[in-house]
Amino acid sequence: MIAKELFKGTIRTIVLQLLAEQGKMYGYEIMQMIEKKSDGKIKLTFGSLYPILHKLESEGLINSESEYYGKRLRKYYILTENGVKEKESKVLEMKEFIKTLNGLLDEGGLIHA
Amino acid sequence: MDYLMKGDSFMHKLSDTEIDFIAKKIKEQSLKSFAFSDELIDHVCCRIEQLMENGITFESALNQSSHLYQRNEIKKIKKNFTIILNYSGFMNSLIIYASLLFYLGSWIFQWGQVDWVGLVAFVLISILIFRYSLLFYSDNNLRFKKSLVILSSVGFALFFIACLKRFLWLNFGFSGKHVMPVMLFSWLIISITGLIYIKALFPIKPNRLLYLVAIIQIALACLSLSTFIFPFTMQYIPWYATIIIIINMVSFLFLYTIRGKGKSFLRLILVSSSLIVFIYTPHRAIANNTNIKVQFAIKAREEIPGTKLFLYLNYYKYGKEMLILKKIGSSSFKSELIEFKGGDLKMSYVVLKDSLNLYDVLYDSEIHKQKLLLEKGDTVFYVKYNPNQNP
Repeated sequence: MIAKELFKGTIRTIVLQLLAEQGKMYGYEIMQMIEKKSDGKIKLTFGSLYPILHKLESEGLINSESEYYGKRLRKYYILTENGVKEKESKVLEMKEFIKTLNGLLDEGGLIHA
Repeated sequence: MDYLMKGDSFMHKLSDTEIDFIAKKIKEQSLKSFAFSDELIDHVCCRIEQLMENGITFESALNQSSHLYQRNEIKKIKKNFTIILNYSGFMNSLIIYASLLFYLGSWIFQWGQVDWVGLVAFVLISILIFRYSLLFYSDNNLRFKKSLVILSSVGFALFFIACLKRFLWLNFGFSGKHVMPVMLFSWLIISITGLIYIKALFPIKPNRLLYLVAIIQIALACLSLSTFIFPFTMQYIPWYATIIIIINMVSFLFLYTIRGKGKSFLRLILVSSSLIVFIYTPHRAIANNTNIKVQFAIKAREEIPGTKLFLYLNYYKYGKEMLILKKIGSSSFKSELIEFKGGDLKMSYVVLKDSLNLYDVLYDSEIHKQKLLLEKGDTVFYVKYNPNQNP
């Protein structure tokens, strides 16, 4: 398991990336997908994922559609045009960050810096 | 653990009775309704279905998922929602724009004797500042939390008290003592809060412009406060006000070009400072005739040194105009005949130059509406000023 503090700031980007790959998804599905893709190392909770989804929606980066699944209402999220642009810039930014981290944390990285 | 794949649903689908039972359980725990209740019900249902896939009974799966909807958990999630959404939320923007509209409304239209509409604008801004104090208080991950809570609370208290005093002063003749200094001081406090808040959220280097907006607001608040320390600067108030409004408008537009939660608070500072600056247009006069030719005259009780005074008119539709009042007696001054083409003279206020005494008097916070009146004669508006008159 990866400590929550380490991936806290990355959830937005991960969610945007997933929605870009998968199209329409609902909250539980997103959680499951993140857990599966990270081999169970990143586990989100309801309280950590859903406020972020709502915030992305309030910022116009994703839209939602509610559909009845049996008797319960299910909310699906879809990327907007702005969301696609934001995803691209955030993914690039994160890749750059990871590269920098690798440089720092590889053996000798910090000594040469 | 079986994971749900894209497009999949679990083999086991809960019955309507089971869903109703789960919804009832969640409602029992939450007491009040909340924005994410439908999603929580679906989430718990998914979790139970996933557990039931592995051969667990409904009761047992429900039991294992109960931590998801315990009262404390729901409270925690609600708090998380409040913090994340309110910093840059829809409600904040709504309050800001509503306040602006109300204030413009109170400025443009005549709403009768008492300016309730203007009061609503100020109260809305006060509420928003208070809302931020609560948000700062409830955000345990916030840097400089203590300073932000204290400063925003003080800023709110000063702004709220000053806006109420201003309303009572302008509309009911209460004492206006300290209204403006308190209001300007609240602007300074809120601007400092804004800078600390930006510092708590973002590093300086990539966000220099955001920092600049906050620092400019602190500088403008200091500049405005300086008019109380150095009375001679009062003659520049109309210039200050114009510059502040222009800077605020540019800053407001700039904030549209960036994303992030910090800009919502900066926008609040910009709107509150614009409202404060517009305070310099409080004295109203009505001339509902069209195409009128009028003169303005002022007669003070005591002798006025100097040979001329300036009357600064601010009337809707035709903008601002500076009139020269020439001396016609030891304490009397009169303007040339001027024409208003088709518009209503909605309000005016007086800026008097060439006499330091009169700057002091007319911008003294002790001035009451009863002491400074604009009365319409046939063709002359009389600015009656009597500093010794009791309110």
